[in-house]
Amino acid sequence: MYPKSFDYFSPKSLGEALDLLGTDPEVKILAGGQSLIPSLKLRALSVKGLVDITGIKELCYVRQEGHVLKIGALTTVAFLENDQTVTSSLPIMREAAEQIADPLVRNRGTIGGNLSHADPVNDLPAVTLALNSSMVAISKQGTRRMGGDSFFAEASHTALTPEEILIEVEIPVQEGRVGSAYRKVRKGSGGFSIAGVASCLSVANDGTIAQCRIAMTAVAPKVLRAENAEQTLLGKMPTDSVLDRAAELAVRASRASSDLNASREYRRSILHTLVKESVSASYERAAAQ
Amino acid sequence: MRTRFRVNGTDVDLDVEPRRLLVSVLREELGLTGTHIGCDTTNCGACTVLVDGKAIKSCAMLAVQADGAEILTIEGLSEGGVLHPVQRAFVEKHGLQCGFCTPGMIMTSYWLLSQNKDWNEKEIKKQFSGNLCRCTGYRDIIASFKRAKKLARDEGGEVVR
Repeated sequence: MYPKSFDYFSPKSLGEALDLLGTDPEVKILAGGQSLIPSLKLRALSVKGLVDITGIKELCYVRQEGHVLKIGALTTVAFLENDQTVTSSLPIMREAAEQIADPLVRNRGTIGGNLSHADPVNDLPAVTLALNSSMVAISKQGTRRMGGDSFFAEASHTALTPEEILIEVEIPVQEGRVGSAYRKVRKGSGGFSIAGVASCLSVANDGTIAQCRIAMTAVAPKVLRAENAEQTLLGKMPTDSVLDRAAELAVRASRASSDLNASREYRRSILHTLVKESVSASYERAAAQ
Repeated sequence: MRTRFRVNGTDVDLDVEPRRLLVSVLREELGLTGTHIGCDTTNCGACTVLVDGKAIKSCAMLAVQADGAEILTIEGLSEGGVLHPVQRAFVEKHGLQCGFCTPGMIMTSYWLLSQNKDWNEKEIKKQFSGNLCRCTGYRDIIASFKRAKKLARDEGGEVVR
């Protein structure tokens, strides 16, 4: 099906793109388009104009600067899945990337689009939130940095204003006994997440968990931290009973609902298992350092 | 909106409405009906084509976004009436039943071969997860892909032109 008619702009620089934004809230940014174009086709969404930023080649990069991995917003998911710099310092990124949709979609879908679209079933919001990343946005007023807690403001909406473009994700890469992992269950191959859990933790010399962040996909109207679960893990070894307790707290914090893909009960039960698996995997990675 | 790109080695110059999808322009303006529309919801992969060397779903890309791109469709694989090794492999191994998903399966195979990686069986299956076959003929499709790889190697030629 065809989308409703719209104007199309393809700026070749950030300056040009910023000039096109902000005049009308119904003008949206188009990146890889793997969520936006299907939504327009289903007419779940209509726009007056699209500003296609894929021609701004300067937004496609991955580089490590000190202890920060900087990823340009137009970097494709396929690139994250295969790039040595990303996969060697953050195996969680490959883990999440290779579970997004399918290889053909990943060839066009971008990290910036996945985050800005902020659909609760998208995987990269939970990953960036668990990794304590910052989102960098630019407008004519300058740039600003937002942590995941403020960036993923509400259901399917980010804190980005209509004048702003997300240009970069900054991920802290900690040294030492730190590990992270993403685990998810989805409906069929290439289907949407039923639930997903990203975790990142550090291990103290005595083997207990020193720091921990857990974020969950598809179990609430937006990506959600499991703060009580994080708290309960601190200072403890990840024994089965400790993990069970953390998983229980995470399930309690979730606001899972039933939909075509899964019932609420099933989702909660899957979430419980995924919390345990994700935290265990992160712990193993951290302890192996 | 004026849009210029190259399809199967031929330059095209079109006036395209921005809301039109690449797949519809390929089929309806250029007559390249080998690229199929299956689900039209970015699931099935029957519309797979290569854009600048990467396999993508042409129902999830606007035609105007292809401005300046190099596109390869199923029609661009054979040369002078001689089937491409990937196409021959699908014939030899019966990698099709009704044939509707076949152009997409072949274009994905072509893209995978161009990466020159050694995948195991499980990995190959994962690589095809964006292409659905409703005849459930996956076994022969995977066999065709493996055969294509062998043909390309044996013949020593470049798989990707």
